[in-house]
Amino acid sequence: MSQVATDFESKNPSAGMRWGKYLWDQYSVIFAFLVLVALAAILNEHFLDIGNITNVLRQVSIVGILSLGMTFVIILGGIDLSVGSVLAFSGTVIMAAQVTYELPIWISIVLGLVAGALLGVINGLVITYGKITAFIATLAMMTIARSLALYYADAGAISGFDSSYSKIGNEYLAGVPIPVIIFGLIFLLSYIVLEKTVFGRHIYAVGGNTQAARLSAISVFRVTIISYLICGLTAAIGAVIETSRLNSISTSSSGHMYELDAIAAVIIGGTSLSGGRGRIVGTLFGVLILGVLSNIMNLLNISPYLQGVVKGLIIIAAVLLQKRD
Amino acid sequence: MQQPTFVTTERYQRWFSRNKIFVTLIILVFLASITSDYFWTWNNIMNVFRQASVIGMIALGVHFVVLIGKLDLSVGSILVFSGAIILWGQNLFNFDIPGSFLLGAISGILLGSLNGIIVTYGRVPSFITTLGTMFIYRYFMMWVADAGAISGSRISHTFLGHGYWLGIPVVVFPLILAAISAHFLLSRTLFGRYIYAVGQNPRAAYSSGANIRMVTVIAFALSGMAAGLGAVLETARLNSISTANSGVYYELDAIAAVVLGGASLRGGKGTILGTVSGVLMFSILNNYMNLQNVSTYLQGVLKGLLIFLVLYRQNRLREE
Repeated sequence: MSQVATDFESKNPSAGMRWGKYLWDQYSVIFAFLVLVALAAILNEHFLDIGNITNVLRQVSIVGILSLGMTFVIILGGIDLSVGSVLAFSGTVIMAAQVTYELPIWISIVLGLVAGALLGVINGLVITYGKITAFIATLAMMTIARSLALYYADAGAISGFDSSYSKIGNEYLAGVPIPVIIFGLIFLLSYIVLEKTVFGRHIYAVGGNTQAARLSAISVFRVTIISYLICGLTAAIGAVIETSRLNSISTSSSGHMYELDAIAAVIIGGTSLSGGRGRIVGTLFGVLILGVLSNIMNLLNISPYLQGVVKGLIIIAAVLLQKRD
Repeated sequence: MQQPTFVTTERYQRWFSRNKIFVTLIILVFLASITSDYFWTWNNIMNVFRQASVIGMIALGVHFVVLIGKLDLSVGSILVFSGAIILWGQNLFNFDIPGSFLLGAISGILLGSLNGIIVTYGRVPSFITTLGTMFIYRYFMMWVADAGAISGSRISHTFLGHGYWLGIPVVVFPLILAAISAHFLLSRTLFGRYIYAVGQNPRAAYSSGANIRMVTVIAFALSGMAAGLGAVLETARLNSISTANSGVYYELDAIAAVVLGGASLRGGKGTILGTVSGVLMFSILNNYMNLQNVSTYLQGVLKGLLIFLVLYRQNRLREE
């Protein structure tokens, strides 16, 4: 809606300019991605190899799934700093179920997902019912979830023995790695929920103006709880892939700093931290931009530490170049 | 007859909600001293202060940024950046303690001001700006030092980290000095008034003559400076800094302490006394659990629960 207003007030009302501005506002992250891919293809002939593309996709899949959940809570006007720790916690639940309690794989996965969703619900409850700011509430959850995982495994790793479990993280289906397929499915699901359902509209409404949403008979409480549940659930799905990749979970380093990467991807995707505005498609391309960037820098043999510097620059530049309030 | 009682109860409630952190701190100290014989000894209390020194220094700076309703996520990385510069200053140019403090402060002010300039002139939200510079500052130093550690060898620097003066650890003095100056700056100067004004209502602050951009940049510069000074204390403890591991998540510890101390992330509310109490509370909690032989790994759980407990429904009184 603000889009209409700015177009109307624009000093250059010619149709071409308007279209250009509209396209840039809506799809700047996709343009940026295409430019980056073109640049990467020119700089290194191996970039467009099918093997390399698959590699990029597989590398981004875990943080990508986390970013999709993060998009929900950021559009809601919140934030979730706990996803990295929730991933470690769920991973610990999964591996403990398999190793210590010798439960079947599918039960361990269900338990892991339930654990992630539960921590998400607790986040939501603390924020809505306890009236603690999302930043602080999820910061507390971050230390709690990590600390429980560390305590259970004595800060070590838990390794599984059932090799069929590692198929999820390592095998291919029709030439596509399974983590990428999961990432794609969750993207589609998130897209449908956010863009095509009433619940999705409600998330935008609460993020845009909580008071107005409340007055339009939207249950802010329910929408908030479910959004944080989704975010916790995506962290748990990330945990399934992370644990099955190596058939083990390291309680001290798994998921470390993932929350920041996920938030970065969402921001680069054009979602506003003040809530109410953003697109899940943007997040997808935000994730891909970060993935391609680190891939091409690896191919060009640039120090991984400089990649961190570039990542920081991109986060700031993305917001500088995108439209403002 | 009933009305006065009602007023007094309300006043007590108000007072309690405003000083919740202080009351909780006293309760915690009380519980700790009756359940542990060792807690209330001079050495142990000094340990509590010593452990609080680095995060305390950082939290004092972050306090300014939180007061204007912004966030600074880059302080952990500034600590690493400044720490490396301080140790290079000692190794290459033979700087002593005063020179180290100066180097820490200057490098911190520069990095912090850069944050402030991006936030004000680039109009990038502070969360995003400092998330970006958090990556930039740390990875730049990791690139320079190949993700390794930088070590110093000055004995005076080790004395700063481990020595005692008048029975008090030397690291505590800079912290006390910084807390007093921050308190003075906030409560006795025009700049302090402006900080609260910008946090509460930027438009009104602007109308009454505050240069909002200047106030914002200075707040970020102070935050950076505090991180730079924190780097002096951090490097003094180990006489080295690890570019990959030092200062990780310090920004979150500092913000948690500031908020625990009663500051609101929306800005305009919070005192230095509160922030110092918040820092001490985390430090006492850690110390007490160590004394009671509780697993280090469980300390995060109690820290998180403490945040929930202290902040639970605290905003309600303000909203109503």
